[in-house]
Amino acid sequence: MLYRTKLWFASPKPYLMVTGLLFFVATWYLLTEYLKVPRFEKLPGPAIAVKEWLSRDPMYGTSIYTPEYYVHIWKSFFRVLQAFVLATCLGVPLGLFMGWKKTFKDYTFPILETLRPIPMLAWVPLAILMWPGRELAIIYLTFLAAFFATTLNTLLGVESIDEVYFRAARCLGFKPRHIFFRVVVPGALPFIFTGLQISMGVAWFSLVAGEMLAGEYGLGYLIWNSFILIQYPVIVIAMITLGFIGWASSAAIRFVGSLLMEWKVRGVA
Amino acid sequence: MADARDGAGLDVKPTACRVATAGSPSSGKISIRNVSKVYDPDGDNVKALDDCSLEIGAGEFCVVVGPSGCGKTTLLNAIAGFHSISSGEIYLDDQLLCSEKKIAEPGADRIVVFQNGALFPWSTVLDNVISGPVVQGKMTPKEAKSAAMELLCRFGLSGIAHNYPGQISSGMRRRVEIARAMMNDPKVLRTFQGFGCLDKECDS
Repeated sequence: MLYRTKLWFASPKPYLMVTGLLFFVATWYLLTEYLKVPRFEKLPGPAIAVKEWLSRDPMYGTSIYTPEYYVHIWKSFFRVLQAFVLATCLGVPLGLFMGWKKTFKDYTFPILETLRPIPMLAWVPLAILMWPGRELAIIYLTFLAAFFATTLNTLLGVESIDEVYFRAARCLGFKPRHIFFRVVVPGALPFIFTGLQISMGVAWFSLVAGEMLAGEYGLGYLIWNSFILIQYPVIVIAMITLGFIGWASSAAIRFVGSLLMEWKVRGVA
Repeated sequence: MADARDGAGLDVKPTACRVATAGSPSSGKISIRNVSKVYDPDGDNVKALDDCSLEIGAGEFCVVVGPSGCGKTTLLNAIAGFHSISSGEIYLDDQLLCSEKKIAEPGADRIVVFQNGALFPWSTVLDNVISGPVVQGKMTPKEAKSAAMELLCRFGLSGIAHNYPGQISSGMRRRVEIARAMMNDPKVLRTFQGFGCLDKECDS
């Protein structure tokens, strides 16, 4: 780990990342605060947003020192976590079986492919009708988005396994259950983890949409409420927070993936 | 020489050369009798094997050679149980293995070492080698590990037992695959391009 960190710092990657980030912030500052370019002049600039974010006495009531900020983060995070866990627990086995058993895929794939393209916002009325209260409706919407991404990627993962491994397994006397646990599951893992990262991204996307429509707490609610109350810097604070949490959750999935797929990491080492 | 012959639209014949090995194993005799295989009979009608007959005695070392597309892989796949045949019969120790109406089930008695390698990349070398006897219930994992380490040692591979296939050379992967096959004590060991990738250390 230490060796890899050293290698990372020795490579140009971190410096290019920082340069790219600085360029983005500088452009944002120039457009919104310094040059005040038309169409950008109404947007909050980075200096105003960061000042509000780090203020002990924030003008609009939201900064790293206010407890409400963490309540919004926690509410959003917990909703995504529940939806993501549920989507993983249902989507991964479903995708594995769909890829493994052609008959099962023939039954289920048309339904999946019909439901998958429906935008999450189209599900909102049904979600409100189906579930009592706002909380469950928001979690349901978030779950749906994550579920389709997870299932489809898992299915593709199984289908991407080279036929030669199935042949080798049968030659070695593997029974179907052995093939499932020793070939299908590990062989599909790279796609499963790609799917989980995508599913985490779309889960945050759907969550924010759900919270904007029906939330009481959460970062999506904070963004929409701040827009209504003309607290524009808070919108940027909530957006940046979402970006950081989204990035951290994807990084956590990648980390778990690298632990479970040591063979890939070590294979290229 | 056997009169194995071909198809796939090419006027070529796979040829079998064999050498008797030391000792006299009692099992592993293969009889291929008038085997033909036509792919897509209602469409392209590609004749891969045409009336192929070949006898391989128990313990015999037999090499089937011929140009690409002459039916070598089709013949070996039929013995392995990966393909059906259009006519004829294949027997293993005088037991019908496959015919026009019967497809052979792949099994550990007819292990295949694949042309491009089929070690499970997600398992270590040791786990690959022990997988067959363990899932068949022939050995406990402990017994299998002990036997596998001994075999890997004989193959000069003991130092890479805990590596993943992606971390070792293609020659080593080939040897591991042969070791994995031998762990199952098969009646018949079939290799596609059997000595491909093997290095100087394995000449003997």
